[in-house]
Amino acid sequence: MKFDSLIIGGGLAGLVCGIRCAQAGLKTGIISRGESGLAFSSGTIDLMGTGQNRESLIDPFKGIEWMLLKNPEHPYGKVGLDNIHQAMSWFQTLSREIELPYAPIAEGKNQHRITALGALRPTYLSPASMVHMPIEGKQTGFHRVAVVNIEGFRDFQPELARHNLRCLAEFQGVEVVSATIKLPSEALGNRDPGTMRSVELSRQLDSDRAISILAEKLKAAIGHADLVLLPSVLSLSNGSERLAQLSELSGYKISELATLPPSLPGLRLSERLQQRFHRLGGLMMSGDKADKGIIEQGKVQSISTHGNNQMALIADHIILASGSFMSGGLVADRNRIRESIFGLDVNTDSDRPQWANQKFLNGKAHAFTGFGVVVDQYMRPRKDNETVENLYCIGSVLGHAQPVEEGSAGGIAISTGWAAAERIIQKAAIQQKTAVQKTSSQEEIHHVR
Amino acid sequence: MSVNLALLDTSFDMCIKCTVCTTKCPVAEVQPDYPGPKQSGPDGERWRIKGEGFYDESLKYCTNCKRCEVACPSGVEIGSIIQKAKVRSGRHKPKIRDYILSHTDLMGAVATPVAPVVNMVTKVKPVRKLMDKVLDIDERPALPTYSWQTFRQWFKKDAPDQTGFKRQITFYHGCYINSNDTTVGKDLVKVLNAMNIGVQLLKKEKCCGVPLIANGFMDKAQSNAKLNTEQFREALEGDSECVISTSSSCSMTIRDEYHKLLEVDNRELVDRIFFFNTFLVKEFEQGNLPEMKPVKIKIAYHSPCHLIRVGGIVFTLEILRRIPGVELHMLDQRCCGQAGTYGFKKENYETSQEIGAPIFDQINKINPDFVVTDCEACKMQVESSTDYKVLHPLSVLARAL
Repeated sequence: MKFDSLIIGGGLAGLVCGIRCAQAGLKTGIISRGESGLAFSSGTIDLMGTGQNRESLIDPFKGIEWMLLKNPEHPYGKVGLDNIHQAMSWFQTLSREIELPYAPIAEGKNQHRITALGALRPTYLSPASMVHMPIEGKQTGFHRVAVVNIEGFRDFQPELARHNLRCLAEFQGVEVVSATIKLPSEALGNRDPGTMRSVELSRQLDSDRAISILAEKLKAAIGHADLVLLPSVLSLSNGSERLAQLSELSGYKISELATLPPSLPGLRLSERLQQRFHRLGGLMMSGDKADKGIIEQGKVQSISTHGNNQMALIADHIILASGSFMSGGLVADRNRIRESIFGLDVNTDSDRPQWANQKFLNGKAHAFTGFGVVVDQYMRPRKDNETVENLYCIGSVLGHAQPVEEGSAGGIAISTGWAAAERIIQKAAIQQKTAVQKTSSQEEIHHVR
Repeated sequence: MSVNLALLDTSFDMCIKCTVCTTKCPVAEVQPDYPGPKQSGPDGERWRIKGEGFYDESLKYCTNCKRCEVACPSGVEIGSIIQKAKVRSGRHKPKIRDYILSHTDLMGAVATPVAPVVNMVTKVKPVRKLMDKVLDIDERPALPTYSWQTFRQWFKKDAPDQTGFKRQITFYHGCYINSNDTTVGKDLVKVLNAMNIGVQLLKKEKCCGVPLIANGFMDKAQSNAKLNTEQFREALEGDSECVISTSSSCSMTIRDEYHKLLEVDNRELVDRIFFFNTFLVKEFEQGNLPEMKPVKIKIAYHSPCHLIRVGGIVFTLEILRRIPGVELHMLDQRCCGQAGTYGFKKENYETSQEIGAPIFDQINKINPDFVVTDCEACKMQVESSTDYKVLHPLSVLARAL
């Protein structure tokens, strides 16, 4: 079957690229093997969080500029600063369209996200269900913060979060308390919350009645507080709406904390983006898996998939958004790294002992997290040193980035996905123009005869 | 030889314990007693290989809709792990009820000669009450009705002559088209003939095996698979280009489960066994598009779980989009809850309805002329639970001819 653009991978990068292409009226397909990394993510979008000296960056765009001086091959270098700006503001518009608005604390400024363990992490965009905390200055502006759990829920420890928050410079002089509230068993479907994961709990709490009980219990348990931190357990699909409702009923400013996977805020974003893609007429092949791509004469000729090996999929433009090692876009063999679908050229020339640091968690970037596909300025990869004309690589399959150390995975996914789509839209417009010219000149000939 | 389910399959080791499957499980969403696919599948299997004592009752809740497999980022075949465990455990001994519900070809052969009587009787309330009490077949869902004339009888007696076509394909009609509703079979003949392709039937065929697998009759499913595979081989050695099926579950079973689950090696044939949608899209793209007139109807398309599993929804949409005049609305991709024979069972009826409720609501909101879906079980569920009639995509196409 023939598409205008065909994307391999339904994570953040693939969905962004797919939505942008579908918005432009291109016939767009996404082959998606299972839920993406969004299901494990915090649900915020990091752009460039950490600087060269491991400091939290206030201005992510300046941070990108500095980083590019040392590492011009970074995916951000291919996209360019202007385009990164445009991509991020396009994403914010999209987030409002899907009614899950994402925003920075101020234009071009990073903010702090609070983790479930009570640590602060720099990020750029966060959903309305999470509090915007400034990185600048050492004051949070809060006087009394309450960390609250629902009794029995085992995947969140409010005391631990409280203790860690208290240790932070930003929380000096802030009274941090923790509380556990017991919900009546009818609000939990007469079940023991100790047996539930976040998703199961969210199904019980996704009702007006449960939210109003929760609001009353909150008020009784914590008294005055100018910020309440809750684990993300209120509704999978309508979490932001439920949180706003709880805020209104209880009078508290409430912020949710992403808990252990599966992450509700991340799944929520994934679900809404997929829905958007469907509504724009995008064609999702979930459950299927791209097995192999045939490259001949410098172009991808066709893709075969696991579920439909009877029909090759063809497209004018192919986009590889297959992710890194965890998603299977990159595979580590004994002595080499390979890209799993096309066998594209990757940036790994070191021997295996150099791939990882001796100490795994000492905060220093490992070489392997920077491995990936090598691309030209249009994000087109090479196979056996020859550029593949109609293939674009986006997201974490790209090499030369250090997403973990930099705090840049979301920004790379969005900006490369957007930029590849823009390039494809441009090319498709040119093709269409030539096609129209051709037919009109043929008509002229016909007319003269 | 019987199906060897004892072979140690350790594919559950690929599970990274992320629990994403459970967030997408339609049963877990409405039935809190079901621990979810992660627990019942890979987690449970880790213990079940240890010994008999680790099998538990909750396996019975799984409908084998395979949405867990669609969601899994690690390629674990969770649904299959649960189905195999259910059979291996020996605890889920099939009942008479399960025999009746799953032996669809046998029931068809018994019921079609006396179809009007059967259809009338299965609508009589006291009879349904009795079936409910004695057989545990819930009295509420509408049971499939039977056709007076089977599809095979129609094809032999009343179908247009097929010998004049240069190109020939073989149609595997399955039980539902043969005994319950012959419309889709007739529409396939009409559509393919309009595309200058002739239709043949297999000399004989048996139920694909999908309800037998779900109800634990693995040996019977295997013997059916053997017979069907022999028939496919014979047809494909003759003048038939390929075998086509119009049921998404039959196709998935023949293509994926014969070899993997039932140990009937059909690998050299599967590339020539098509679900109707891929065959038609291929033909359309090669320019073999039948002449179509506008069909001015508003349809709501429901995506069957098993078609989602094989990534096949896009091909049906491609066909529907090419039919002029059709106003297409996409229903959210949720399970309708029927899952073959699951929704007919007394212990499952309520779960089945709760799973389907959001879909029924959405249909009512859209208020289409017809709901369209590729699966006969989804059709039965939607027709039983809403006031809307359900068409197969081929029947929409046939209206355009």
